[in-house]
Amino acid sequence: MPSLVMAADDGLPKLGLSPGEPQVRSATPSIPFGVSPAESKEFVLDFHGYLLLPATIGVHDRPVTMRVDPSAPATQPDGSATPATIPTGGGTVIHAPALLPQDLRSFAYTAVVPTPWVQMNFVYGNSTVSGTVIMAASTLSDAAGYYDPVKQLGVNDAFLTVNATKFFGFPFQLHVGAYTGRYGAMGAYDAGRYATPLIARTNSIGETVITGYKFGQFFLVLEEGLGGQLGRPPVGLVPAGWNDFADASVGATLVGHAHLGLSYAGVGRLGLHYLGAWTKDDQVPGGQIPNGRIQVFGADLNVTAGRAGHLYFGFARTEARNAATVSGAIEILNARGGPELMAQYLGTGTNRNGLPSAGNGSLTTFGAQYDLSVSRLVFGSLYTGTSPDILLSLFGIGTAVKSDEADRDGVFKVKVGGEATYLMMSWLGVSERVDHVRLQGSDSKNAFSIFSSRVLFHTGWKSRDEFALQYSYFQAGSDVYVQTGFPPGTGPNANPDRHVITLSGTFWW
Amino acid sequence: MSLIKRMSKAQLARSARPIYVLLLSLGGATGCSSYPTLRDDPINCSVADGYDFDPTPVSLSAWCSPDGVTPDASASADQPPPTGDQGVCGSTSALVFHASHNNDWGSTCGFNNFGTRNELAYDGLSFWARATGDTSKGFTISLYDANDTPGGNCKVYAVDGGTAGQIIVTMVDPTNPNNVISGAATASRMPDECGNNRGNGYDHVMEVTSEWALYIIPWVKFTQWAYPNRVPNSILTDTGNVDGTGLLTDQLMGIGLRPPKEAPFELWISNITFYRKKPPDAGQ
Repeated sequence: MPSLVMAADDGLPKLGLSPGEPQVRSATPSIPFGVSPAESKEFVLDFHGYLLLPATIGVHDRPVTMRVDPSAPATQPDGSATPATIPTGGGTVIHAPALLPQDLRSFAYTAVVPTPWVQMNFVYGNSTVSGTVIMAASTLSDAAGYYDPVKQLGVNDAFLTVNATKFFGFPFQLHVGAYTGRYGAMGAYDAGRYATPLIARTNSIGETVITGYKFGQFFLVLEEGLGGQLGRPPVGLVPAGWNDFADASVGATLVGHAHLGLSYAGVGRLGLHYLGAWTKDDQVPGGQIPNGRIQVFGADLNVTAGRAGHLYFGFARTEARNAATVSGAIEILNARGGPELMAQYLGTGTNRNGLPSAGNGSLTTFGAQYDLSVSRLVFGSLYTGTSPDILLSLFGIGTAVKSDEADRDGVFKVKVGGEATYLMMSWLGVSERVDHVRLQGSDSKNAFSIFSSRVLFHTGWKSRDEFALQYSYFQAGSDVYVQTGFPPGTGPNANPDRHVITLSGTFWW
Repeated sequence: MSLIKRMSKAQLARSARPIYVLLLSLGGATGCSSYPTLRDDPINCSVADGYDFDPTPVSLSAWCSPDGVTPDASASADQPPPTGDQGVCGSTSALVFHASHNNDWGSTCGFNNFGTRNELAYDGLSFWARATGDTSKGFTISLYDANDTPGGNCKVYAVDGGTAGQIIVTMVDPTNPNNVISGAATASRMPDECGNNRGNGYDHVMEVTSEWALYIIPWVKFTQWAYPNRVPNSILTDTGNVDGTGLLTDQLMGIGLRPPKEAPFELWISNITFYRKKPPDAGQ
């Protein structure tokens, strides 16, 4: 997919998603989309964006319960003291947002039920240098039940891009500023059906250099980056809604990364990845905590095989050492920094020595996604995207946890799914997706399945819009629950809604 | 394939329109049973089975002080009558902290009758807690020891206004001894200074849930601010025996609690004491 930023891509194989590409946390439409990057010798203003606007409700069947009738006499006609009871409750209840085990930061997240995302990319520059400002929000204030400033992200990213290829004589791109890095993108054009970078995501301000060398049919590409964060939560800060429940025990964190890729004839690309985030901060409470580090070693294979579709396979080994103090400059499977890595995977209790856990352990993660266009398979280049098509997609992610906490050590989590989309007319399509998630290996009580049917409307073949009416059925084990409260987890546990209806509109330009 | 290549786009559209079988959601036929939205999760008292607790709990008696600036600020600590359902897991009593409208610096609370306790044999502080209703779930809890409490190893150098016969230290510019910078009350803290809100207790910022839960806070989670009177320093050299914190667990002298400013606050605490993990062969 072409980048939303203006830098020409020089044919460089991509080792991850470009910073300007949509950061939507939901599964993107099953059809290719994108816009061509501007190429101009003069300075021009470019404007791109992405809108995903879902209205979602959860439908729940409430049981009838008995309660004391306040209007009844304290004693029964027969003289007994048992008060009369009357039925109460029952019927259908509606929840918005739906109660779902779909916390973005947890492994249970499947991205199947879309959440709002608005992104506006303002780019000014020419084909040599450009500045990009990305404004984003994950809520819409007009429709929000309450004003949550944290979800109004504001200026989410801002960076400069320099394309110095014509100066050096070989591909050379430089990003400087605040932006995201996403490595392990499982989709052909996006982060994949789970909207989760398999290897890691970085959230930092710093630099990234991308260069490459072409020889014959091969293209060698090298990428490195280094960044930090603008600030850390002040010591003593009490977590609250306005600060996104910040954890003040994390230190100032730097993240460095290097990537090596080799592609062949634009068909296959093999990538090797290393990311390391570390903290050495003495401003943390007490100043006596150990240095923290999260390292990721990854490899992935990306095959764009024309008629045979697109295949992605990736592997990542995440190693955490005293990760409790590493901030959200790095995300592992959407879990921000060491605190969330511990909460979701490594544990926040005590280790085998009875000492408080500090975030020591590892994740061994693998994932794959295969996308196939049946029309492209059958008709080859004759298929131009302006006739009916069936899109098939298979995807899955698994991770094995190794932790110094006994009850977290050896836990295996896996999620798999499949989706079939039939675009039968220029304006109409239907889709069926099935997901199965196991949070504790073979324990069925900690597993759930989602069956989703969608009717899709477009304004034409290759349109940049999609309107979807979706119904999802959640079938959850008895130990799968939804955390309520603000932040989630501070309120009582809830049972997931079984029936979820979503009406969404998506538009990109 | 040659035939296919000769097909027009329209023919292609028609020929490629296979019958699509929309898989109806499998659960639609099986998901008709009802169940409540919120779970009736009983309080899990067995989480305490893995620990030994100091049999002498901290007294459930406390005081609170509002910020004194905001006109309608309030802060209180009350013990509801022990009707049998105020506490949790065998305890019939609880302490309830309230604070609201403390829009300036917040409010502060402390426990009465704490005395000086030797908890060297334990691993940390424990209590049951909940924050009910639409109230803040976050707050700061503090431990004080002999290094930061008047009457212990530290000194009260001055009180506001320099009265009460306390030692007054005048801070002087070291490059110009005739230039008095300020009085002690506004100068940097002395290494062994405490009192007059200038101590350096051991804080832990935490969140609780709206339902009763057991909180186990190891000593190492309690840490000081990076003030000059953080231990160890040139005067206070005793850092106790817990790696990662200088807290003197054998000379604990108080527990404090600070609700966040501005936020409404209602915290229930019960069974506040000290814990240690049972040895593996002790059974649970």
